[in-house]
Amino acid sequence: MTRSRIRRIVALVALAAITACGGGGGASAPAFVPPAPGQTHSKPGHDTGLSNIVGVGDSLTAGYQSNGILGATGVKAGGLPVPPNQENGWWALLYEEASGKALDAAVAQMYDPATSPLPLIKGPGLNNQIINADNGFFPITQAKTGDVCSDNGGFNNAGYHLKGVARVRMNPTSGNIRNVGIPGLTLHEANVLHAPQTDTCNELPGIPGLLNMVVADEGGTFWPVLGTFAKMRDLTDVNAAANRHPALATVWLGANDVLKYMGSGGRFVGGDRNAAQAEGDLRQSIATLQHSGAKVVVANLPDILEAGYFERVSIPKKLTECRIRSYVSCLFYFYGFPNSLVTSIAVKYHLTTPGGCTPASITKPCGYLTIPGTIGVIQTYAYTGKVPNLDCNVPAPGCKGTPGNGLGQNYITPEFAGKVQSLENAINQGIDQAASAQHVPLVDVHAIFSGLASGKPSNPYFKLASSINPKDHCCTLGYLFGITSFDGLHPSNTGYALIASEFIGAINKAYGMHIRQVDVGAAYAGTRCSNPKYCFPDPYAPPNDLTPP
Amino acid sequence: MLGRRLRWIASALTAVSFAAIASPAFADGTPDVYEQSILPGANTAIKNFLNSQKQQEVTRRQAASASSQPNVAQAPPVGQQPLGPVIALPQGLTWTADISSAYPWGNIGTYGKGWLMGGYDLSAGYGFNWSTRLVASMFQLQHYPYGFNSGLAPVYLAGFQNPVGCADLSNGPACGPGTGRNINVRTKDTFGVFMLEKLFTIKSDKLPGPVPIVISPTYVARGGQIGFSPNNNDVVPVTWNLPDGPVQTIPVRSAQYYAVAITLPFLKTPKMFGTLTVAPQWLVHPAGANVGNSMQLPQVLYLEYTPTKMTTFFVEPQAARDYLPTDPYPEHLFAYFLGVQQRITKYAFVSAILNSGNPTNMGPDGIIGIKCLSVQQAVNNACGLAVGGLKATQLQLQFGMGSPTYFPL
Repeated sequence: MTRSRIRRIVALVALAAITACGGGGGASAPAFVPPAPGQTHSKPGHDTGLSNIVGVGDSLTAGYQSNGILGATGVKAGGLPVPPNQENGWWALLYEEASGKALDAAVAQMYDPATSPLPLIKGPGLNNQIINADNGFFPITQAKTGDVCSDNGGFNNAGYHLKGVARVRMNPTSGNIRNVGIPGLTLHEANVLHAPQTDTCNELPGIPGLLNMVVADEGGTFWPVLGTFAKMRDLTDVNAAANRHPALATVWLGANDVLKYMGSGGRFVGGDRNAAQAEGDLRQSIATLQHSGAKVVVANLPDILEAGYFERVSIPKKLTECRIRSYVSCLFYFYGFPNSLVTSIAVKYHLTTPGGCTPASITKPCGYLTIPGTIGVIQTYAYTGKVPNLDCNVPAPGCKGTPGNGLGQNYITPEFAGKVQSLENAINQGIDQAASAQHVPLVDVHAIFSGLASGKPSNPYFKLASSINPKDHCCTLGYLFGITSFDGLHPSNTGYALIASEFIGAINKAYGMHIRQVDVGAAYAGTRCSNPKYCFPDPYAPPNDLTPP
Repeated sequence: MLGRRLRWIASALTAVSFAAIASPAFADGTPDVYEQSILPGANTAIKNFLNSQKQQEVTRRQAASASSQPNVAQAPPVGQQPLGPVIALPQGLTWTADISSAYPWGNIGTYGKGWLMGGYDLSAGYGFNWSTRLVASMFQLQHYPYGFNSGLAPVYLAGFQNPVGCADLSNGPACGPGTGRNINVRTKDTFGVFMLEKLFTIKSDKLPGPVPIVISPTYVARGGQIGFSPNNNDVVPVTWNLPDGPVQTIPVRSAQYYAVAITLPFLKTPKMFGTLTVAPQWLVHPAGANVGNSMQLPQVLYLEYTPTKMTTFFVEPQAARDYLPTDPYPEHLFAYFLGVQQRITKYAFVSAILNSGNPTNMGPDGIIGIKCLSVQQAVNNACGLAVGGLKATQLQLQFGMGSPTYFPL
């Protein structure tokens, strides 16, 4: 990707909502190392035909990408294609591989509203997907313009109502739904939430914006995901999954307990706050699913602060480090902004760490600008030569903000980063304890991303991902380098394939199954199936480089 | 001298009670059921019975003394003093009506402090004979439960493990603008009490005389009004079992009980009188947060001092029980009543009663949390209140007609 191209990308990206992802916990040896790109699939074993799998979780299980969720194909916004993402999530890949069917058929089943286990969302999709605008002046743009709540005849707002399910779902009456991942869901909510916390995406009067923000995403996706379970007694996400009496259940939660805390600058503390709470909630979920007859597998969280959404304010020694990790200076470089600009911002907002820092550390954490904060600076500085006030909700020329207001939203101080990491570690500890106590396998997603973040060629995950397409520098963890989607938080197709591989490896190992492995390289290249409508090159891992113009 | 002073006090209290008409107040009301309805009848019956026994004993002694005069011929039967009828429960129709007001004491929260609105009490009974009587009564209590709306309360939103914010119940800025609230929790409870009073006597050679016991099968139905209820009743949103309990809009101060009160005397002198009451008690049906319905055993001690025929001082400590729809388990209430009652005419009386009580097993007091199912509920102030223990202290002034509570007819 050229300097000018990235400039245009950054100038247009305006990330609004935060939903899932996360991280934390201690690193451990990978439970399973996926096959190298192009490696032949393991042949289907005796578990061929395993189709009664349910997925309990948040946006990560839902297949959310690039600030939106969409199941329909052929969707366009302003003439630009909006790629479907639900079918490219890790859970969909696991389901396809476990089905034992030929991939052409398995993938086609996933996309078919009549047979899909996914609650497929109609176009233009819920929330506001950031899309590739390769054929225009701006290479990346948002699918919806204007007021996203009322755009497209209020499509987003329809998601807040049960009666809106018919409007937003391709398969509103399907009895096949088995993926009940709800973007924004927390550990505790999975067991107890039986209705959205709001029925409108319009901002509510008298309620602090923080609360609106926190409940917005899941409020708009709760019914679109669980609408077909609405008449169930004691409806919750976990109960809906148990209602299917699954043979296998995946549970991946906790990211939003961290993200809601982080995104609010620590002001929102409604999620699980310690290992005991996380363990208690997860054990309840596991027990409910086991009681329904399911074998259960759970996953821990990756280090959220390693995601591209968080741009470090320190200066990398080499420009090539931008491929591995995300730095503000990497994006500034392509605009010709001096490193001193980064330094001055860091000083002003107390983001500096003179003695150096260690990412994902509690004792020596780093300072960051978030992607919205970084974009705010770039847009304003490019046009005015001044740095906007990052304590504004939306940094813009001349805006005024209350000191500290931008914490979590536009910047992360080292002190706060330590708190976020501490919470992550506690959540991961709780997940680990719950898995041990309930005797269920733990999928070490944390190991994948800490391996990618290490940048060590000896690390199997890094080695695998970075060798997918070395010519085009894919794929690594730096922002826009192919592992995460354009929102910097949710994985790309390739990133999800890596996660699916880890799930399949853990399931096979723990339960003696022989679920076919995912070909990560094929997921990247879009060659898992022959139908180009369903299988296409990863839209979030375009050819990329750091060559200055 | 004392009688004159008491009459002066009573007159003053009468004037005050005319100016501010209302009813007594207490934390939850069950102690008042005993104080207002069950005990007076039983105490009256026992006191009358004992007085009657005393009178008969005097009569017997006089008769015996007369017959023992050696130089006097035995009096003819027509000359003997008759023993007289047994006097216990009032016979025939009796009634009482009073109006009253109360003033709250102590920390009542932040809504405000002042005289409570008026209330009234009515009681009617019919005694079939000296040992059997039916009574129907109603009375009203009004109070500010202690701490009900003071301080900060955590706000829970459906689905979250921990509070998402807090509400400043004093309407202050402690939780930030827009989140404070000042809840009008001024409460008036109305009780209906229906009971049968039956006096039994225990006789034994080991006892100096027959011991009266009153057994009172009782049905109590209570309801109420809460200031912030939109329909002028006690139907408000509440919750329990935070953080995941439901939010339900239910009558939170409505309940029905069965009780069987057993009252027996332990002290009787010309100016002192005391009884002990125990009353096995059950809910007619659980409601709201109630868990189970095991028997409760309220216990009431009553001791009075009657310096003149017109004046009564009394103290009444109680170990009562209450089981409202907001209570997962019954509140064990320790309460006491201190009072003075003065008859001012044959059919009029005034009384002043200081009462206070608080739960021993339900804490902390007042609103312990607010639960919103949705952010719209928060906007509309429709969130449920989780209520802990309640307590109150107030002075009740009462002006009544008919049979005063603490005087035998």
